[in-house]
Parts: sequence; C-alpha cells; structure tokens
Amino acid sequence: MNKTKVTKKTGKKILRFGVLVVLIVLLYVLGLAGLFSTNAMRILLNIALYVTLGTMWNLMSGFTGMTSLGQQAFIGIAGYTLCVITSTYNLPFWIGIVLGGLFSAILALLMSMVLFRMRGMYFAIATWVTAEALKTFFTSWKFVKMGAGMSVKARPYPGVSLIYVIALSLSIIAILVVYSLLKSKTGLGLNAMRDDADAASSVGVNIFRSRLLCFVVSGFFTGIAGAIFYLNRGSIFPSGGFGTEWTVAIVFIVIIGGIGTIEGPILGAIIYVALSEYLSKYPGYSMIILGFIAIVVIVALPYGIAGTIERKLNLTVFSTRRTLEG
Amino acid sequence: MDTLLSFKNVDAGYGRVKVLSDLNFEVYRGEVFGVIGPNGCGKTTMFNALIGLIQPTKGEIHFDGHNITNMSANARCNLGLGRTYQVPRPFENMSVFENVLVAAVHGAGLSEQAARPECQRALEITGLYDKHAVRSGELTLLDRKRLEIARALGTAPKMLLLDEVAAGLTEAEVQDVMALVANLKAEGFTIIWIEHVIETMVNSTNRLMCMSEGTDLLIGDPREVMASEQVEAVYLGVEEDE
Amino acid sequence: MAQQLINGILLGGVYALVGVGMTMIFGIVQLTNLAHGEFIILAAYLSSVISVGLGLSPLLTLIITVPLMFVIGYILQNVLINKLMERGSEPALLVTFGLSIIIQNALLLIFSADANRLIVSFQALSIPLGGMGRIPVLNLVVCLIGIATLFVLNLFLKKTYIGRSIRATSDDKVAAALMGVNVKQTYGIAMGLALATAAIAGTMVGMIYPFYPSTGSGYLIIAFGVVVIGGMGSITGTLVAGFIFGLAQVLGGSNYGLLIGYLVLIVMLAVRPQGLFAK
Ligand SMILES: Nc1ncnc2c1ncn2[C@@H]1O[C@H](COP(=O)(O)OP(=O)(O)OP(=O)(O)O)[C@@H](O)[C@H]1O
Ligand SMILES: [Mg+2]
Repeated sequence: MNKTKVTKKTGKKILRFGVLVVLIVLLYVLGLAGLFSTNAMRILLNIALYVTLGTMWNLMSGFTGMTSLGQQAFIGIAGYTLCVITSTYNLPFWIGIVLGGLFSAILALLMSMVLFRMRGMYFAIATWVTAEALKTFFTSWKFVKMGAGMSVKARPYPGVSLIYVIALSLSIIAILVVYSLLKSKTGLGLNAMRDDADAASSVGVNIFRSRLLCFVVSGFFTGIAGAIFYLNRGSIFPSGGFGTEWTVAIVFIVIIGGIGTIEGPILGAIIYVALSEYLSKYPGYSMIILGFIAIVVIVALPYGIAGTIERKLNLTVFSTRRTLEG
Repeated sequence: MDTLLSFKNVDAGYGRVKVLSDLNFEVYRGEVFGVIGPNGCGKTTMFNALIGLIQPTKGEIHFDGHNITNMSANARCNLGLGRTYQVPRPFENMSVFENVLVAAVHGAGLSEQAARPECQRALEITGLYDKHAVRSGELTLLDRKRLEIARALGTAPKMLLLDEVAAGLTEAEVQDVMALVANLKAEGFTIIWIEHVIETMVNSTNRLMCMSEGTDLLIGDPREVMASEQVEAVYLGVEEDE
Repeated sequence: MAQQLINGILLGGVYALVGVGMTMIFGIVQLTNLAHGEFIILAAYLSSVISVGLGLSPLLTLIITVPLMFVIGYILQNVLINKLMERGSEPALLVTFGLSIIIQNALLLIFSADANRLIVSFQALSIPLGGMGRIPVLNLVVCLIGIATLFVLNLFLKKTYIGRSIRATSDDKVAAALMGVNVKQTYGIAMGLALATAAIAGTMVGMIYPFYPSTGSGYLIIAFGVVVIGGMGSITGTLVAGFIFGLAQVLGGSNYGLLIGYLVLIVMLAVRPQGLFAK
C-alpha cells in the first residue's frame, strides 16, 4: 500500500517534470526557429523578464519577510551599467549585462549594511527612499548625462530573438536558483523565518545570513533582468530606470500570482503582461485598472491565485515540502 | 557543583522599559531549576535575555564556559540552549515534522537526512508522532505546547528552558505534560522550569528561585523558599492589588 | 544666506503639516500610508477646481476640502483598511501603495501632466527686514497656518473625549477596548483627521509650489522624514523635523536639497531602527 503510494507520487513527479521540459524546449525551439512573430517574441520576452523580477521580489518579501519597494534601484543601476559599458567604453553588451548584475549585487550588499538594521515598514520605506535618492543623483550626475539619458551601443545590435533567448534562459535559471535555495538547508530556515523570525532564530536559524543571501541574490538577478530589458529597449532615463512603476508592476505580479509560492510570480507575470498589452489600447487607464485589480485581489484572495490553488486543491508544481517518510 | 549557566548583575528590558534589574543566579549541570514569581515580574523576559531575543544593558551571562552576553540568538541555540515559548509560536504554515526538522537542521547542525531519526524521536517523546504531517497552525493548545518541547528537543540542547508548559491546559492535560517533563528530567537534561503551580514546583525541582520585580528575591531549597516570609509577602502583595 | 534661512524655516512649518497626518496614522493605526503624498496632491487639485469653479480664494476652499477629505479618510479606513489590518500590516501597506497609484494616475488622466498652481492675491508681497532679506507674506501665512493646525490638532487630542480615546487606543488598544472605546471607529476618525490635515497641507504647498499629479511621492518622503525624526505625539518633534527638511531643501537647491533630505532620512532610519516610537 505504501509502495503504490510512493510510485504514484514519483509517477506524478515525472509527469510534471516531463511537461515542464517539453514546454521549455518548445519555447526555445519556436523562438530560435523564428516561428514566433516579432510581436509574440516581444511579449514572451517581457513575460520572461517579469517572471525573473517577480521571482526575486518574492524571494525577499514572500520568504524572508523583507518587503522591498525599491527594486528599481537595481534595475536602474544595471541599465545604466549596460549603457556606460557599451557606449562610454565601447565594450560588448554581455559584459555590460554581467557587470550590471554584479553592481546590483554590490549595491544590495552596501544597502544591507544600513538597511538591515531596520524591520518591516522601515525597511520598505528605506529601500524606496534609496531608489528615489539614486534617481535624483543620476538626474544630476554629468557622467551619465544627467536627465538626458543614455543609450546602448552594440554593433551588430542583437535581434529580438537573441534577447528573447537570453531572457528566457535568465528566467529559467532564476526559478531554478530560487527553487534549489528553498530546497536547501537555508530554504528550510527561510520557511520558518517567514512564519516567525524570533522563534526561528531561537531554534538556530541564522536570520541575518539568510536575509543577506536572499537580498544579494535578489539584487543580482533583478539587475541582470533590468540590463536585458534596457538592451531590448535601447536607451534609459533616470525617471524610467529608477521609476516606481517597476515596483508597482512587480508587487502586482507577485500579489496576484500568489506571494510565497514559486508558481505565483510566473502566473502573475503572464497575467500582468497580457493585461498591459490589452490595456495599452486605453492609455491613461491601465495603471488605474491594475491598481484596482491589485486591491481587489489583496482583499479577496489573500494568497493570490497560486496560493489559493495550493491551499484548496493541494496542488503545486514546485513543492518545497518535507515529509518524515522522506 | 558544576555551573552550567550564570547570570551576573543583569539588567535588560524592551526599548526604554527596564524589566530585569540586577538579576543574579546560577544553574548547575543536571539539575531542575524552578522559577516562580508573580505575573509580570520578568520570568519570560529572563528567558528572552538568556536566548538572545533582547540584549542585556548591563551585566554578563555565561553558559557552558562561554560568555554569551552579546551573542546572536542562533549562536546561543547552537551552544545548547533550547527554549519553549509560554504562548506557543509554531511555524504555522509548516507541518509538525517540518517544525522539528528546522530545529534539528539549524539548531543541532544535522543534515536533513541525519535529522529524520532525531525528529522522529523528539516527536515520539512528546507524543506527537501521529500528527507529524499536520499543519502546525491547526494544532490544539496542548499539542502546540508539546510541539514547543519537541522543537526545543530537536535542537539537541544541553539545557531546556520551559516557560509555563502547563499553563492554560485542563487538569488531565497538565498531568500529561508533567509526566513528559518528569521523563525529560530522567533523561538527564538540565532544565530551567517556569511554572505557577506551586505544588509541582516544590516536588519536581532541585532548587527554586523566586523572582520579584526583575530581580532574584530568594534562591534555595524549594520547600525553604516556599516557606519564606519574603516570598509570601511578594505573592500576598500581588493578591492585595487584584 | 539669511534669506535662505528665512525661507527654510518658513518652509519647515508647512513640512511639519505635510508630515503630521502620516505621523498620526503611523502612531495610532500602526499603518504606513504610502498614499499620503497623493492625498495631499489630490487635495491641492480639489482646492484648485473649487477655487476656479466658485471663484473663491484657495484659502476659503478649505471649508469644503477639509470636511471632504475627512469623510474620505473615515470611509477608507472603515470599509477597507480596518479589515485588512486584521491580517497583519503588510496587506494594508500594499493597498495604500495601490491607492497611491490609482490616485496619481487618475489625476494624470483628468488634469494632464501640466503644472498647476493655486493663486492668491498676496502672492508677491513681502516684508523687508532691513539688510537681512525679506519675509515673503505668502510663505509666512502658510507657515503660520501649518503651525496653527498642529496646535489645534494637539489641543483636540488632549482636551476632547474623542481625542483622548484616540490617544488611549494608540497607547494600548486592548486596554482601550476594555474601557469601552470602539477601536475601529477611533481608527476611522484618526484616518479622517489625518486626511483633513492632508487637505490643509495640499492647499498650502499648492500655493507656494507648482504641483503635478506625480509630485505626491516627494511629499511622501518628507512625511516619512517627519515620522522618523519627529516622533509621534510630539508637536516640537514634528516641527523640528519639518524645519530640518525645509532647511535641507532650501540650502541644497532643488536637486541636492532632496538628496540631502533622503540621506538624512536613511541615516535616521538606520540609527533609530524602531523610529522614535519606543516609548
Ligand atoms: N515585548 C514587550 N515589550 C514591552 N514590554 C514587555 C514586552 N514583553 C513583556 N513586557 C513587560 O515586561 C514585564 C515582564 O514581563 P514578563 O513576560 O517577563 O513577565 P512574566 O514574569 O513572564 O509574567 P507571567 O507570569 O505573566 O508570564 C511586564 O511588565 C510586561 O508588560
Ligand atoms: Mg511569562
């Protein structure tokens, strides 16, 4: 009886795994073979980037309980790094992307020295203030041409299909990194911290180290995603790169999708990009409508779509549950 | 006597509120050290200072040869301090087993594989084995209290800190918990035990400390402490207020 | 230099007013209202519409905007936030974030991104101070109204029954509930009062500075600064915080002033991680 249960479980696992692999292979092959229209590719590219951004915010807010409202700090820094590296120093764009991620990770490290002394709302406020301060600073910094913005230089300029493949790979790596992090010893502690940080520390969970790890990982990937976004866009301005709109989108994605689940940001990103595409016909209204939807979901579906499904149907794709049977 | 823990002139509190003032006591290896005192005298706060949820503003705490006064809570847990909370604080979204697993992996430093048998043992001792897959947020108060103990045991402690594990339970449930603590005592754990039930305190502890207004009023043989006029005055003083 | 000091101090009175509503909500309801800046700008636009429509002086529009904003706050708290607060502080925080987006974009839709300004008759008047510079009448009036509002609010909280129950709730909501205070109702009134101060603040900043739908976030940061530096329930603290930000803004110029403000704020947050509320 026990054995059939186990094989049934493994069967299910293999099935889920198979479906995922087929899906991913399809996304690659169709993209590389040029079977998507440019428009479809652009949409998928955006979804992939938002999946990464959402996954990384979720790692912070959903698992360590640190709500950041300043993810745009990483996006802006990385976007500007890409521009400076390619147009000021004439280096290849991929160096710009990698350095963008590294500078974002370093920024996260620097921020942590000051910001980790704060809890809850103070942390949220301070991340946002940091991003606003960076925006103001970049607006008056000659080296990055102040408010006039900068552009990305690359010859030949990578086509949308190449950027799409990079973004898709990034999102897959981001999900895998978060998933294996949650499956690790640290991840076990994160799950505990999320419920009660004090109690977690008193059973030996190193809260500071776990938070730092998540913050730096989150900064790194958010930066890379930002750099790829600006590689596709071609130019950056302080108001956009460090814009609050980034956090709005990210929070919307994770809240709608389901905070504290791995599936949530994926679902949320698809919904967000689809909605924004649809709402782009009604300029001016889209942010208002997104705001309303977010409030309705926060009120009516406290665990988001994925969280509600997980609770009601006991259904997950990426489970980080541990059982006594092993 | 082999001293495992000592508080030396400790002051501690929350923000600007000072709760502990000039607290001094020692706990010997292998003993059950009882702590009594009127509500709000700082017993739980003493645990908070001991495990590092709050930092002393004065004085020193030594445990097992280490000065732990300024150590982080997780480091103190790793040294062998296992604590239960008066108001249980389970990781509500995790299963009973996962709760104990966190303690065994992070507190005792085991791999998840090596931790499984240890968790199973902690669950068996506390009578929670049948409920290992239940989400801990759904447990009854009695089971939450048991889980507190199981989780503390999971960290492989040298010293167990029990904060009113019997409070709020029915008469029969209290008997269950008492038997459990007697078991732990027999296993040789050093225990600090906070409880209001005077009878058990007198019968099951080796030494007893009565706290009053954040300081150690009297420490000694349980019967002598209970018989002292000072202790009587503290409790009577409280009753007059109520 | 003397002139800048004068300007900075006068600005401080308004900034204290910008922050006092945020401080109240933070201290009493234990909510960070991320939409406070947008409510201030919303009030500025309301004032503008009413003063143009009815041909009133912006100062007189307060008769309408203050009660209106009070009602909005009261309803918002009772219909939405009170319920969310039962689930912890995060959902409510995110909802105020959503509100700020909605208000900002709705204003953008209705009024476009162009600068707006509230015009009063004594716009250009100033009092000469010998060789020390001049005191602009408008800034003086605005500063005095700010300080007066703070004192009236303080008096209200100390002397009236509702005020005292608000303070009791903020000290210990369980005890207050036991003493018969309707906690949720009290929160509603507190939010109403906070938005009433936002209404006054909106008119004041609208008279001395141009405003756009997106200027709310700048005022939110100032309000944060007042929360963190000033401390709740202390009129002096709120005023001092206002003056610090006013001076930083004036001395540092439009760009660096804001940057200095941010840095002061982050350092304050780091040095006092729990804020100044630890009683
Ligand atoms: N987190 C806190 N912040 C501020 N004050 C606190 C906090 N926790 C406890 N106190 C205060 O510290 C004092 C001591 O509380 P403590 O919980 O240590 O008492 P206790 O002896 O454990 O009481 P009891 O027998 O009721 O459990 C009380 O006055 C209490 O109000
Ligand atoms: Mg206690």
